[in-house]
Amino acid sequence: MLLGIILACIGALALLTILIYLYRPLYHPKYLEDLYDYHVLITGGSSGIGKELARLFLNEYGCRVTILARNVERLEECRRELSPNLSDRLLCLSVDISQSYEQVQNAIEHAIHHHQDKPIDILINNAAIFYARPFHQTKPEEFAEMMRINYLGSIYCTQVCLSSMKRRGSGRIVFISSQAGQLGVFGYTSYCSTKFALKGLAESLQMELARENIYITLVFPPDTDTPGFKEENKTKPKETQMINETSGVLTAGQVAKKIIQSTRKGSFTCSYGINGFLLTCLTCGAQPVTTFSEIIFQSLFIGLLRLIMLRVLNSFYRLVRKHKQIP
Amino acid sequence: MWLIICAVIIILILLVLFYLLRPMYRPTCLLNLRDIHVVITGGSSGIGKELARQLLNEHQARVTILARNQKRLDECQQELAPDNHERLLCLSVDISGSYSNVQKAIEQACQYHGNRPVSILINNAAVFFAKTFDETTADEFEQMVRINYLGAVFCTKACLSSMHQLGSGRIVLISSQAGQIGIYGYTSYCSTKFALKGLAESLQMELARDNIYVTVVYPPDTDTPGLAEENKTKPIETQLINETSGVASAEEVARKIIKSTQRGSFSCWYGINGFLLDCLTSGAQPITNTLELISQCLTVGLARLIIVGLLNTFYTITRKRNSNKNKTN
Repeated sequence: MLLGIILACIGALALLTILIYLYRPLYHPKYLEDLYDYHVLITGGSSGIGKELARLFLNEYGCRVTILARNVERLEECRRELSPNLSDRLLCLSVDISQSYEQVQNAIEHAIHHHQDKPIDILINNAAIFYARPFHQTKPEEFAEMMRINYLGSIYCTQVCLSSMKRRGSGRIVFISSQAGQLGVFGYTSYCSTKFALKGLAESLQMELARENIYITLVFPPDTDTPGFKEENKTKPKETQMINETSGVLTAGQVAKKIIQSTRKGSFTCSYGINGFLLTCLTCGAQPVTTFSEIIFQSLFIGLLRLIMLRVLNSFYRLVRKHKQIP
Repeated sequence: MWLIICAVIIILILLVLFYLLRPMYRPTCLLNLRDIHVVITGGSSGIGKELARQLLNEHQARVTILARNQKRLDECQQELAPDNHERLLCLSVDISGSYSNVQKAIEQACQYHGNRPVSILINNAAVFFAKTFDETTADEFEQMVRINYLGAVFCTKACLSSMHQLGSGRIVLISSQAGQIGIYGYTSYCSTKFALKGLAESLQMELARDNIYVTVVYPPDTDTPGLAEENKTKPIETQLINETSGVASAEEVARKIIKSTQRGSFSCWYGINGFLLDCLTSGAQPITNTLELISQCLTVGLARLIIVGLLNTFYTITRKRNSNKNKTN
């Protein structure tokens, strides 16, 4: 009797050890304790989430920040606001990251030179455009433009920063996606595609870079209170508006804070609130894991989450059907 | 007594669940494809050519093939319709070039086929190669996005007015298992195929009320000239990882695509690996029948466990190759 129990316990322990070994996190990023003097590059950093990130990195972590954006006026305002005493810790450069790889390369070389030859430690691919428009109303050039800025721009910046990160044997690359990069929604055909593309990029890229100690974080913010968001709301189709009402709006500060936390941890994903957490769990697919709790929660609850999502999708489809305009 | 009451309660709960979780839309099954106008991009070789062959011979559809290489198009015309010329039209056009070229080609095709609007569009044209991120040039990223994604967008836009006219339509997007999981060496390719999924999910939400249905196809490695070409320059890590899954024939891939399109299913997968991957990455996809609902909810948790174990193997493969490379350095 006692022997049976002991054997069963040993068996269970052995099984548990095997399972823990098989499902151990794929890589272990070091937690970045001290970000002082880290060189952080933020694209689209002159407003919205990017600006909040720059603010936090400069003021709370003592980093050296480079902001890349297109609009010179906004960059000037940004500079005045974030670094009124004209400290050299902030560099604002006007460049269109989607134009060409060479332009991005030149800008980043300039930035490194300015920051006392410090190569980029953390790259935050935040630059993006977004608007909601039905597929048939989106022009072909608009599809191309959105892909260029939201996806190709990130590719160019990542390629430029990668060689120095590899040489130093460490680095963090952040892609700002969106909850629209986890599920497709009416009115976001162009936008969702670009954000889904970032996910495919991140998953493959992480598989290539884990052995180089470079870690990728994919961020899925919900609607965030930024100038970009206000602009988008002016032309959003009714159906999209009603669907978006099911989730809330966050401040740029809240979003930025968590991005920095996740980047320091080297987590693969960064999500917000209970909705964000459940959505990330549901759409985890073949993403890497960096902690045990992720794998346990995901495998236990995805089935239920899929049921819930189908119910939610049902209501979205019904909403869209109700709003069909009879031509 | 209690047993009967429990059984009744369980059955009632299941009925309520099935009602709440019923499919979002129900496409009619297109049983008869005779004389239906099908446009296939990249149809002059590989999966596209097989699709054209089966649609012409087994379903008597009217087929338009769009591709770039004129020589391959001519060979294709000779092979597929030596005596039945009028059911097959082969047009040379670069679908990623400009929208107006695509529009013109589609108009020409509709006119040729007796003014028949496009009923089924199969976005199959794609380029693919496996190369590490730092070895892929900026131009290659751009080219892949243009052909694999923008090309599909342009063709879909050009065919939609036809489908709205008809009051029905099917749009097929040929993705890949690399559109469900990111793999070493496929940074450029995976992104474009993931983009197709994002496009499909949003597009379906817009088009379901118009009776137009989207199907995303996830073939595994398929025995085509394209695959043979890709294998010449594939990094060893990618090769080792791909060996975990098999190679399908273009014929079986094409057959299931046609069946899924007839049914209007949202996704089309192959084999047990394909089934598990589809459940795993079902995320926020729509379903078209209750069986999908049941199989996905029951399987996805297990699929997640399996994939994490598999990912562990993949990451170990890439680490081992790295240490080998470093040793030889």
